[in-house]
Amino acid sequence: METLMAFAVGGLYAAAIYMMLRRSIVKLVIGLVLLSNAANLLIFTAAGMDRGLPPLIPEGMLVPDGPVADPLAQALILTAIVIGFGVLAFAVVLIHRAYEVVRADDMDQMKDTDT
Amino acid sequence: MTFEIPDFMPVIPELFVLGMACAILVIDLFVPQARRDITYGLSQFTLIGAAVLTIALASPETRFTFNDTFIADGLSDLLKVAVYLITAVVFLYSRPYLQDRDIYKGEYYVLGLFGVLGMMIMISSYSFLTLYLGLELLSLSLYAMVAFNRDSARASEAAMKYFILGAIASGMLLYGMSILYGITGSLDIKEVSDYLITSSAGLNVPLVFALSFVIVGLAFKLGAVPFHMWVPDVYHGAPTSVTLFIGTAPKLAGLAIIMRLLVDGLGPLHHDWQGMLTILAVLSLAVGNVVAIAQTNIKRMLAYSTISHVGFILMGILAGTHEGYAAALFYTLVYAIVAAGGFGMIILLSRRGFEAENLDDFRGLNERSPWFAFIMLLIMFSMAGVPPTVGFYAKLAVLQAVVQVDMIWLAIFAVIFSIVGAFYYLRAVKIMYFDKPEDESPLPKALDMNVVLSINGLLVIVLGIFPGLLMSLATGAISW
Amino acid sequence: MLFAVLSGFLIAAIAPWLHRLSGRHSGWLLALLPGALFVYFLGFIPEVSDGSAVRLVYPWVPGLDIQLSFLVDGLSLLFALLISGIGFFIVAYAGRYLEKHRDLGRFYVLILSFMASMLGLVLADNLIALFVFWELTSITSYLLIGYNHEDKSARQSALQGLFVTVGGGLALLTGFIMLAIVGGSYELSEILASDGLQEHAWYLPMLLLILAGAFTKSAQVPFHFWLPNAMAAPTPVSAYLHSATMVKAGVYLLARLNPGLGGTETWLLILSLFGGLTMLTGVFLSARSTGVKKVLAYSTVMALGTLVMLIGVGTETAIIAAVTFLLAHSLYKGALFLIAGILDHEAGCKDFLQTGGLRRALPVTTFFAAIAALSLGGVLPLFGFIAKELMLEAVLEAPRVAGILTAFAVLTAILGVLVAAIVGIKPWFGPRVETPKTPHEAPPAMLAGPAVLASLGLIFGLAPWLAEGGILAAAATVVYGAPLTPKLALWHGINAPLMISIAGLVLGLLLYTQWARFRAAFTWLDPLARQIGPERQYERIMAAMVASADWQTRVLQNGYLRYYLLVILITTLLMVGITAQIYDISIGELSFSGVQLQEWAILGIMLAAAFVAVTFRSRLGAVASLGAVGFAVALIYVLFSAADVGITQVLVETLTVLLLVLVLFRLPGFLNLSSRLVRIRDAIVALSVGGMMTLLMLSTTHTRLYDSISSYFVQESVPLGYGRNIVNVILVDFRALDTLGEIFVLALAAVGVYAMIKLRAEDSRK
Repeated sequence: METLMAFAVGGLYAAAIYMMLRRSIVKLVIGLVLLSNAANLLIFTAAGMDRGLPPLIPEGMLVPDGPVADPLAQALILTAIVIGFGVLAFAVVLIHRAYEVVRADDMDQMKDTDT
Repeated sequence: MTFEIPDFMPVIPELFVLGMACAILVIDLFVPQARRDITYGLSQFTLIGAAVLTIALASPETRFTFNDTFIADGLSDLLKVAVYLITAVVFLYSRPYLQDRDIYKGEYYVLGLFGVLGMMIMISSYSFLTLYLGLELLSLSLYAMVAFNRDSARASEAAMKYFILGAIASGMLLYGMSILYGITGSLDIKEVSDYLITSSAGLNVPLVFALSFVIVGLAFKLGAVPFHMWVPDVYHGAPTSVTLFIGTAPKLAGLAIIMRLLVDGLGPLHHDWQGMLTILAVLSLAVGNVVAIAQTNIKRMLAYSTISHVGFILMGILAGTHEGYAAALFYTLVYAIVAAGGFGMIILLSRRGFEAENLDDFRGLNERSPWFAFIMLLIMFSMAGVPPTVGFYAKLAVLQAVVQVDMIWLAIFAVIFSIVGAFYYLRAVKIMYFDKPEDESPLPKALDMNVVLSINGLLVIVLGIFPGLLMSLATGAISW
Repeated sequence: MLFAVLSGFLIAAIAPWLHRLSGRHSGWLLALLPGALFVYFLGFIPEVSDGSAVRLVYPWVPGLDIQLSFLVDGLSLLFALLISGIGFFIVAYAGRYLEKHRDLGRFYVLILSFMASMLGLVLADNLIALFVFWELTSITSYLLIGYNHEDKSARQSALQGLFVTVGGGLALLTGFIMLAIVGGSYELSEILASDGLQEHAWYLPMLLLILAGAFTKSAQVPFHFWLPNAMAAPTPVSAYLHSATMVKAGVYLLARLNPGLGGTETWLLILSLFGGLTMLTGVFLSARSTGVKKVLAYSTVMALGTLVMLIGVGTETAIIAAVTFLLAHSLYKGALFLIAGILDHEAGCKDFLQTGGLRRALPVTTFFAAIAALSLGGVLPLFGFIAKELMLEAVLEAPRVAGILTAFAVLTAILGVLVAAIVGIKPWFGPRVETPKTPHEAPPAMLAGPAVLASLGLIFGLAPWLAEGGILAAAATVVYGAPLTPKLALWHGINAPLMISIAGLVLGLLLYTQWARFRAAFTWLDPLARQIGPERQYERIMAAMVASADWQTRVLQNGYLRYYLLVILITTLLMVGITAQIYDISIGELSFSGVQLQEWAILGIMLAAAFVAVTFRSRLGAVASLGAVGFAVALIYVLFSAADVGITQVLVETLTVLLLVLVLFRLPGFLNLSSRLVRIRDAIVALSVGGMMTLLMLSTTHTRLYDSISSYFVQESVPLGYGRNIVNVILVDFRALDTLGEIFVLALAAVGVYAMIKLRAEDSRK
């Protein structure tokens, strides 16, 4: 499964990077969303993938019954997803402002800080 | 590892800053624009209070809390106090600037305080995740501050670039950390280091990849070549008061995370990151110093100068000795002081409707104000590393550290490009002292700004004559 | 001692106030300081003259191994006496010369600081302290040169001199650090006492770096161009810089290091050849100039070249000649520059062509000018003659390079006489030329310096035994590194040096009668010098640097965000690629076994949706497929035991799509802006990055080498955290700090969003 995931994540990365290299501001946002998805999946895969072993402890026991998936990685991804969203909200507002300045969906209009 | 109620003592300064930042955010809503000084005063109080708390809680031994994800030691105490003081100076310089441009808003200070909080977390984090959170906290504050001036197209654009590139860099850093987690099974810096020391596996490929990604992320945040492109655009585009903030305190936090990540965490891989840092340092010195010459905008010039200083800081770190780390720390502290003065001078010369951003705006400053021309002269000499300013000892310490580990070629390289760099600092001096002023207006500014800027400038030479104190602070903070 | 060195800085701090207090006589008042220092240093002569040294140490920066240590031996004392003694006359002179200048107070601050820096430089025993004072002299002299900046040429040359000396200084610093490491100490006295400096592998780089510093400071070829250009300073400053101080610093350093670094083939060849060339270049340029200060400035270049050459030759005679020449030159050059100031101040002449026949109007000045000029020309019975004889003797018996140096020296002797004649005859004798001001004799404060300095040249010439013992012997001993007892005498019998001197005198005077023709004969050199001269090279290097900076700005810093991204991505690709090459990356076997059908389907949908999002023309379609990607990711989480993560992903993805839909529709539609070629390039980069990530994942997934700390959390979740959902327990308990941080980050993003929206809203209300 990890092998397959490696290719899938690679594909997501490629799509994200391609979008970020476009001149359109909107495409840039889409690229960002794809990128955060790819990154989360990557961490998830790196921690090892197990089917049907949720990190839960059954009622009445002190430790899980048998092995479970890595809970720390899951906690990490949860954090990453939420932060990713915060960052995205921020990005969208920022981009909207930038758009108001240049009035075109074109990053290349934004090179005012060039010498 | 046993579980217990976390010890809150070491995080009291953080909690204080957090509480005050939230309080100021709320209070500011009820403060009319005419009385914005309340917000300003509270922000300064927060910083001073945090400094008092940090100093009061400081102790020579290292304290851990929150399951060893948080550390308080000599390094963190020193850097935090430096961050408070520099930020307080930044706030003070910013006030007249913001007032003149009708953007004297509470949000500037609230965001600034959140940025300070982010830096405090970065400085004290001892776990990858905590460190990353601190970094994001700081970065988000900075992005928002750059975009702060609504009228400026440049600022929005700069914020945009900064944000996108910053997000990529954060991603790389995070990725590097997650590979490390994959290999070592831990996010705690101490345990990662223990693993690397004990595992006889030594160097394996994924470890080097992890290292590469961590270094790319760090290099971006510090602005080392070839991850530096955001620096000039952001320094130039941001309101000068924000440039002042970005250009000073975050470098201290950046040094802290390098120390935590590379030295404490990945210290056993020193041999590998030494090579990578050498390349970054060499490129930063070369590009920073050479490109600065072509700049006519002084903010851009200082941006490139920052890049070259980052090269020096990296040189201290890559030496990999106690002397080297102490030298890097000393250099960074000095840099923050000097850069605060430099950007402060730009603010001093600016006024409503006029940004003294161009080198030409400094023409004949000696005739307009001999005193501040002298202050600027000290700042420029310090950046060029000319004694008896403190910038000299910073360069000296780094060069010594590098020569001690037998990297003479690097020292000579650094010196050659410092000579190139001296050219543009000295050009600024020449413009102030030898050219005729284009703008004859006097420099009316708030008294507090003038006094603090003078102290800032004189500090450059006082510390230059008596560098012992700062040097021993730096050495003391490194000897753990 | 500490107080003696620092007194200059202390008095400088209150100089403006003293100046205001004492009015017209401030010059004399402040001159008391160098005067007192001179007397103080005289007191050291008995202790030092037997070759011993006095060393005083004060702690300074313990962290960096820096002490403020001073060493008084023959060499440093000779310099200290010259600095304080000449300083006395300079300050007194300046009080009158700059009487009407509005900033005389500031001038005192600078000149006294400069004097103190110079004293520190020659007395310091610690290399770093020496370097600090070294750069201080650069800065203060720069400010002194800039003092009179109304002058246009001053402004142009202002940057050049400073850049050359500061640049050389930085090279010197590296040389010093290496020297300290090789010598095992930062104390000069200890370094020079240590063995093996010359055999060390760093000898050559170290030597070259130190020479770069010394040569730039002492204006050796090819750095000689900055010195005359920096002549715009007020005359007393020029007199001071050129006679005893600033430019001699490089010579001092070489003399000081001679016992440790000298004596090798490299040292001999570099120093003597560059020195000899500088000597000849200096005297030639001097003879071709007509500006009063320019002639004198280039003759200083000649003197500096001579000194460097003699130190390089390094034989007993050469060292004795060097210290003798040093003293002689300081005396006559100080006098002549002060006289040049009188010419300017009292007659308004800045060029020798404007002058002539002034002896009646300025009889006293004429007398002392003539004596000083005779010393410059090396004519019997002046002290300058003794020095020149010694120099010729040393050159004739120099090892290896005697031939070429003798040729240089003979030419220099001839041209030196010509220069002496220009200075000593042209303004004073011959037909009277109208001067811009009605000439009259200078006030005593301005005459005292030239009179005393020029007379000393005569006295030492007539009575060389006054000079030869004591201080000169001690200085020569220090430079040579072994005891030397110079025997100075006017008459050495009829020998080769004397013949050269006589021939030089005759030919030089002949040339003087043809001076105009001499100048005209070499005008063809000017365009050539402008083309290939060192000044031109300096400008070229500067221009090349600026051009390369411009180019780099255009290429690297073009303002396009996507190029920045490209650079970052490609650099990362390269780094990873090189690492993979070096470490011979291995990937586990590609196994697709055990993948269930629905997983193939989900991943397929995910990739397809991503592809659609990339290629779709409509914004809504792109956002919708983005949502599809997100939900596919959520399914993967759920399938692989991460239900909590999956649910969060679903919630966040929904919000994301909503947000995008809301905002994107306030933005314009997609434009297809890039050309096909650009898209192909970007696609290649994107695919490489994707491929790199795949490769990295394949190589890292199999390398879990360590048991995850998760097992701890799994074990302790119930006992310590009282929770059965381990992920939740980690988030709110074990790792609560991180979660708190996460909340901060979210809150901050909200504040940022709020700030940007609020400020915009306020804006639109206006």
